[in-house]
Amino acid sequence: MSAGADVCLIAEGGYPYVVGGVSSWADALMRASPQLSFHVIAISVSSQARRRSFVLPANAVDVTDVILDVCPRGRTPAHSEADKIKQILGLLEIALTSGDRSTLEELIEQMRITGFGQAALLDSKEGWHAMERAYERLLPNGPLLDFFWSWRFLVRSLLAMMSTPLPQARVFHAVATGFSGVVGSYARLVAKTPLLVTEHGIYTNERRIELAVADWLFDSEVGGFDVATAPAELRSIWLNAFQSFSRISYAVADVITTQYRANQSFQRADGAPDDKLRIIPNGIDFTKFAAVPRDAAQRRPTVVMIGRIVPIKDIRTFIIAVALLKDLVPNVSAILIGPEDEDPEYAASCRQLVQQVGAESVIDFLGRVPDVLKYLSSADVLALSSISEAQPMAVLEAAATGLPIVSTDVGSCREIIEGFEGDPVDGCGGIVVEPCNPKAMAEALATILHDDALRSQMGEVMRRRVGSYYHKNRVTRLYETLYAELMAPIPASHRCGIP
Amino acid sequence: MTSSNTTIEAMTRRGTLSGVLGAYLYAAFLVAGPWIFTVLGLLGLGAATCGGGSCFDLTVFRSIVIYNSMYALIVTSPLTFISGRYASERVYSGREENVFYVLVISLGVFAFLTLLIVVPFYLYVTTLDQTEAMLSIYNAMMIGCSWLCIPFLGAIRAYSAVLVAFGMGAFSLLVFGKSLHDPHTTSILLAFNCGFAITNLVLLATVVRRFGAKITVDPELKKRVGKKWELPLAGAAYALGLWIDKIIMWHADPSNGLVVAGAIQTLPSYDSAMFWAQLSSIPIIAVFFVHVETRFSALIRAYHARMQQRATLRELNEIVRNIGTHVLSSMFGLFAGLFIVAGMMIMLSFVFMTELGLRPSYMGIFRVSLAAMAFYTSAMFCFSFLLHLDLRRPALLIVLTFLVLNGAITVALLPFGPDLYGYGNMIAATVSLLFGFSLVLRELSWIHYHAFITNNPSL
Repeated sequence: MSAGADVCLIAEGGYPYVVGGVSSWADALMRASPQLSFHVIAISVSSQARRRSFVLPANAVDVTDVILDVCPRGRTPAHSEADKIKQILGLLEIALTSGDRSTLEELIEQMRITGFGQAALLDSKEGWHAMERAYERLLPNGPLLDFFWSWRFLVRSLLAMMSTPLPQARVFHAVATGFSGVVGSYARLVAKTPLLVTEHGIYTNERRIELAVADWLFDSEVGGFDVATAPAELRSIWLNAFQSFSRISYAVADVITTQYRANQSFQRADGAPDDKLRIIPNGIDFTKFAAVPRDAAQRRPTVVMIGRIVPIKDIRTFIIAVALLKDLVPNVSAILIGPEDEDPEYAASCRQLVQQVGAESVIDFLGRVPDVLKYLSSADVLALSSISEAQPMAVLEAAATGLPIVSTDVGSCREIIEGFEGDPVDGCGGIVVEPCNPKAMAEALATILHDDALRSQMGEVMRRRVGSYYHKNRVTRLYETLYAELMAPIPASHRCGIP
Repeated sequence: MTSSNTTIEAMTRRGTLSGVLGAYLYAAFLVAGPWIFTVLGLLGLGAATCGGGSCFDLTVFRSIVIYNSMYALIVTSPLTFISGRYASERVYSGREENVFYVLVISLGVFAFLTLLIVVPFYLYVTTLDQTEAMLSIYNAMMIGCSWLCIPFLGAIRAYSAVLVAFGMGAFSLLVFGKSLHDPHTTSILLAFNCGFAITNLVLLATVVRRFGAKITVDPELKKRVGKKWELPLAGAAYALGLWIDKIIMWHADPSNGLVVAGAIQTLPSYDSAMFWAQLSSIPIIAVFFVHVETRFSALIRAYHARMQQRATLRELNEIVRNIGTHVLSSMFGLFAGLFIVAGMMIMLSFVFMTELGLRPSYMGIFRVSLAAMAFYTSAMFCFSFLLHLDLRRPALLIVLTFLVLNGAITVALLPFGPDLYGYGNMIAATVSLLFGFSLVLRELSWIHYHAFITNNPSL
């Protein structure tokens, strides 16, 4: 156990092991406030490699791992405890479907009293009966095997989260709802320490998209030949669980932030109380990016796209857009910067698509690059084809260098490109197109590439807007103020370790 | 037994008389090969050397073989319960490189224990001369080796090898028996051992041919044995349960007993009755393995296949109901069959009393033994169902129950004299059957739980 930290940052599936937007954000957040100490809780699954992709900043005191599919076995239940097991599993089912603060409170209390874990709640005969009952309610006539594994993972994840060894901290900061939010809520209720939930994208929306394309969830046989009842959907069980996690997180958190206004309506719809909602945008090192000189050398019109090669970035739409663009701007060059190791199958399909559309001479996959600034300075426009985003750092950084943006209408991209109510900077810094529309993206890119004056004007708008609103110093001050507001002296009863 | 079940099933599906007969023989030899061979040896050599009459050397030979059979079964059963499961799992998963190592370990452990127990017994406790003692030790090794090889052959479905091995052994035994002109203990033992040696040679050669003779150590073996500790314990309890009443009786009634070679003590009136009663169960045991367990195995396979094909709970419940119906109807059918066999044995015993080595004074024990056989064999069917579902602890409970009750009740009834000989065994068998049947019924209702949780290798 390390010494107490000012902030306990709870990250899911990323920092410090996986490179990505939220991970980079978490790393930058800690580095931006060196006077604060941080303890990181990293949530992952056992199959995920825990090799650090980030060098921890000096003010990060320690990392605690929470492995969602590894939970305490707990004690073996006595025969007389069947009713207690049934009661706890009933609570777990509620937590996975329609949970709220009181559900989590009662669960934590029951788990503390009984000392139950996997042995009693999943591996016992009573636990099996409870799973069968849940199956009849949640996935009647669905494949039992699929339900079994889903139920087992979700229950184990709840048990793992509710057995998180909590570090001493003055504020817990969950970087999403979902699993991070539940761990944060657990910490809030057990350690009585304030909880800040920061949402970059809307967790449930992102999971909905992921589940929609998840090939391990298929429903071709669901319901068998039973036509009397509506087919149940396994993915709805997962979605309900994630929505429930969000509701719990919103109910328990002291402050909930998001990065842009549009997200707040989703948060309200998922049960977030108005009085807890705040906006803090992403911040970037504007000075560094704005100082990058534009490369004036003669070159092919260049489009750059920065992002992981994964389905949610919809790289395939970008590839098709470039294939269409080369008819409109014949000597165009497109550069894709981003790691391909997260979903190698998808990355391979993207490379195959490049060949199929005959764009091998136009599109270059650069993978992970050491100096992205070099490519930004020598590009003419940044493209973003994602089907879901929050406030993409790549867009903000490119904008700070004075690059115009063509982006799908996701997350806060429209706010960044077209401005927002009260924005001190007028004008558009690029073009917003609808997602999954390669033709619209190709036309928007061609418009910007063909018109030097427009490109220059848009670049300037972007540079000024990012400098005024998304400046790292401003955002850091916002977080520091919020931390200071939430930080409370550690109660004496919790100074020597948290139960 | 899964792999042997598949073989038996395939043999019966041929639709030919030879296929069905082969299946029965294969099943019988897999379950009780060395035992059947021993019976053939005792009958064949007895008839050849003494012409059916009594002679002392044959009595010595019988006593030695009874002791060796008891010793070999008790010591090899824990080993075969483990090695059989190990070999089946390895063959199923295609990782056979360590199988020969396990056979070598089994033989090594058995040889070590033989050196420790059997060698001093025959050399220093009995009054046998050195040649007789050595041949007796050799005989114990041969019987044990045979028991130890059989599970490996079951795992690779080598039914032809099993039939050929015991066929060749029996044939050579008869040839050797016929050529014996001097019915001395040494020569009878030598003939018997030679027959067993030929059988074992074929069995071992088949194992080596399939798995090779390279010893590849499995560092996980100890861990695996530790994880499935119930199996060797069940093996020991099963074998001890079979012999405990006899051991008690040998030492409880010395006045009616037979002592040969100074220390080999038996009670022929009890042993013969029990021996023939247990032997009479083999046809029904063969029926169990040929028809009942193969169908049970097929239903369990269907259950797992449908589960993997993403069946609904309702569909899986339907299969579980079919399994339950099959087990119940089979148990009642087999139980009835056992009693019919028992009845036939009682009637036949009046005609073939001398040939069976029985006397009128033994008939009371014989009738009780036959009733005990019906209960005990049915209890062992329950044991087999539970092991098939890999429910090792409930299975262990059945054989432990029989072992404890058989020993305790046999001792408790001793003061009531010969009138109640065999009743301890029968009461123990009855209680074990009732207990075993209730366990099977209980566990059948938990098949989903066992398939998904207890026996799920992914957990």
